[in-house]
Amino acid sequence: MHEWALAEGVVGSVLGAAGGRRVAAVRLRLGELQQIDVEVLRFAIGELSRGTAAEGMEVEVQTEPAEFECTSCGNRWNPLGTKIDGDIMELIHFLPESSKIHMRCPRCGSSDFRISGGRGLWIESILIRE
Amino acid sequence: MASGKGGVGKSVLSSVSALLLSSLGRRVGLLDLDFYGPSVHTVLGTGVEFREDRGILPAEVHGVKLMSILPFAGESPVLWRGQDVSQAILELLAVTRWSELDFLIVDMPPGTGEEILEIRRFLPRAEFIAVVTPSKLAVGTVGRLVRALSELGANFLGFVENMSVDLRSQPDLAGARFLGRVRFDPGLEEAIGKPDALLRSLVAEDLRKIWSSLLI
Repeated sequence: MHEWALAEGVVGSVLGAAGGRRVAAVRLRLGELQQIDVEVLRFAIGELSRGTAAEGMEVEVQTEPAEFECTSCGNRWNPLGTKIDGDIMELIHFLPESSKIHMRCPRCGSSDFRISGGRGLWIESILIRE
Repeated sequence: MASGKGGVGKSVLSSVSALLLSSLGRRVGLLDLDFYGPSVHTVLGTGVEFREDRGILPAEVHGVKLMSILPFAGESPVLWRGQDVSQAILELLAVTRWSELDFLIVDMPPGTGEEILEIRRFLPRAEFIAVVTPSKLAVGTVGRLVRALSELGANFLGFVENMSVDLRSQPDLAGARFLGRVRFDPGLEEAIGKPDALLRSLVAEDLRKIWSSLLI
């Protein structure tokens, strides 16, 4: 789990964007494929923002569902809707592209699909405290 | 270590360079960016298991920290598109825990695609060494790489002629700085997979001279 590394990235990016101004809130979009524990992430952001202009900021997290889209047949599916081997899930949460090595389109069996949703952690917006 | 051309010996030179620098007491990381045909683990004679601790921990071989696509792919072929390669490079750089290093050697795959562009983007201080062999075919392709690096404003240290046979030749590659030659080594194949043997090879002997002048 790398919630702390991501939290560090969030706090750094928020402070960079705020340019010295105090931050009231941050809205995050978190991809399901990353398998991040939201509560641990929130806690880590809280701890890492202590003593900075982002201290005490509200953290809103929207989860983006995982979606793969097959380039061969056009099928779209949520890979997390089926039972996946724990070891493979471990690989995917670090490197979502590993899904293309170990999984296949449930409709046509192709490995040529793209990750159309559910990856990454995005900072959607920040709210500056007036 | 880049070349544009396949089969010129980048993986061997990267691996032996890493072993040499480590034997000199430097902290060395080795990143194999050839996702389709990873070879560094074969040269060093190691498996690369998936080890996790708040990120991915590189394997350690002879003091060298090694990361490649192997923990993720195993023996499975990697059928990726360009954007997958770009993403995977970013993710590997983000999640690998190298700790402090003096050198990070990056073994580049053949071609002048995503890997070159993403290294320029994410590791802008990276210094490139081009590897060429005496063949006209290699010189042609690697010449393109040299021009690409110039267009990209990359830091280019110069080129190494690998598998050298005519030791009196004056290799020329698009006017680039010649760093030295590594002789064709008939004993190399036997040494593959054995770091101690690699360090005693002709390849290591020649690379040592090249690195000595680079490290001054």
